[in-house]
Amino acid sequence: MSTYQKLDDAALVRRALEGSQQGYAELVRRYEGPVYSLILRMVRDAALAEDLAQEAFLKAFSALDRFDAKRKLSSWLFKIAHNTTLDHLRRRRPSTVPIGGNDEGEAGLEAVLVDSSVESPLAAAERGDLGRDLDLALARIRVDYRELLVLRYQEGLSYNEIAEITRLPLGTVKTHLHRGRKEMATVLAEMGYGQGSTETHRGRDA
Amino acid sequence: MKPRDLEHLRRWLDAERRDGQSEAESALRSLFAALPVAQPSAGFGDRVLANAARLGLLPAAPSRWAWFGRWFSASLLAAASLFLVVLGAQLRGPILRWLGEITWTDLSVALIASMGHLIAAAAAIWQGLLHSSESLSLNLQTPGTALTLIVALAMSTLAFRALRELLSPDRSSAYVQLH
Repeated sequence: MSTYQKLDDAALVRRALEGSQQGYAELVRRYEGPVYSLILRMVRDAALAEDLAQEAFLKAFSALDRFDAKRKLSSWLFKIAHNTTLDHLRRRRPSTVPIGGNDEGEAGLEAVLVDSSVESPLAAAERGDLGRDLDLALARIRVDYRELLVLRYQEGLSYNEIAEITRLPLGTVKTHLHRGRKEMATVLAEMGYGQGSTETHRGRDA
Repeated sequence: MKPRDLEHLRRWLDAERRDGQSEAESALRSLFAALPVAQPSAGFGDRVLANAARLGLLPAAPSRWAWFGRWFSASLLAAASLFLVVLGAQLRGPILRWLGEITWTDLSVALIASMGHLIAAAAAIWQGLLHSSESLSLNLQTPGTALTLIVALAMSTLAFRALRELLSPDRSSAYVQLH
């Protein structure tokens, strides 16, 4: 383990600002995974996610002297990644499939999932594909819910940190997380996992 | 993916059905830990750093030979100091002997003679300047010559400015063409 790998985030930023290229390199090495992962879950395109992650890091470097050492570096980087991705998504239509279809006549996820030719999801899980299915389910929910779920359950951030990153009111963060979880649970239930959520049954009964 | 992860999934979905907020959160966190970890392609960090350097966001990398330059300067300084000390020690005897031989009368005569030479040289230069200004003022009284002189001055000023604009980016030894 190199000297830089042992440094905490604040010390690392200090070294980088003092002119150490190794400091910048360690900063990227430490956060390239989480930043890329967050962006990838939002845009669902590996090449685009890399471009946006790179853009986020370049923005972070140019503003590094304004970073407040009292804050968490990860939250600050996530905020830059969030803003960079959102700017991109605003220029492009988000690629989510609504569960119940939409006003433009698209059939939605329920229709997509009713395909008997597809292998049983439980069988797929037994083959070790649950991870892929979770990823798929995550991809099917609204992009803003998806981001919050990743920040909360993958990166382990608090509600307050998420509110600061996304600039959403704390109540909205909690509501969106709740809805996001429900939506993802519904998608997974539709894919055959578990016994099926109450919302799914309600949807089918209607 | 292990059977334990499937258990997390069942636990989470059950908790969602029962609206068990904290249990759902805990199970989902465990489940997310099992998600495939996304990593950018190899060399991502290097590409970020290369682009940052290209955009001037990184400090300049210290040259591989910078240490050599520092050591060379220090060695040169030390050698020059040593040389001066040795030279002083060698010349100390003759200088002291010369100073011992010289008298105040010789020194005063030499000083006065030097000053006389200086004044004569200055007077000759002054005379030459006066002569040149007289010729110039006579020539400037002719409109054609005056106009030619003004045009020549204006053209040389413009040429100097153009040349300076052309050369200024290359004046620094640290200048690097990025694009």
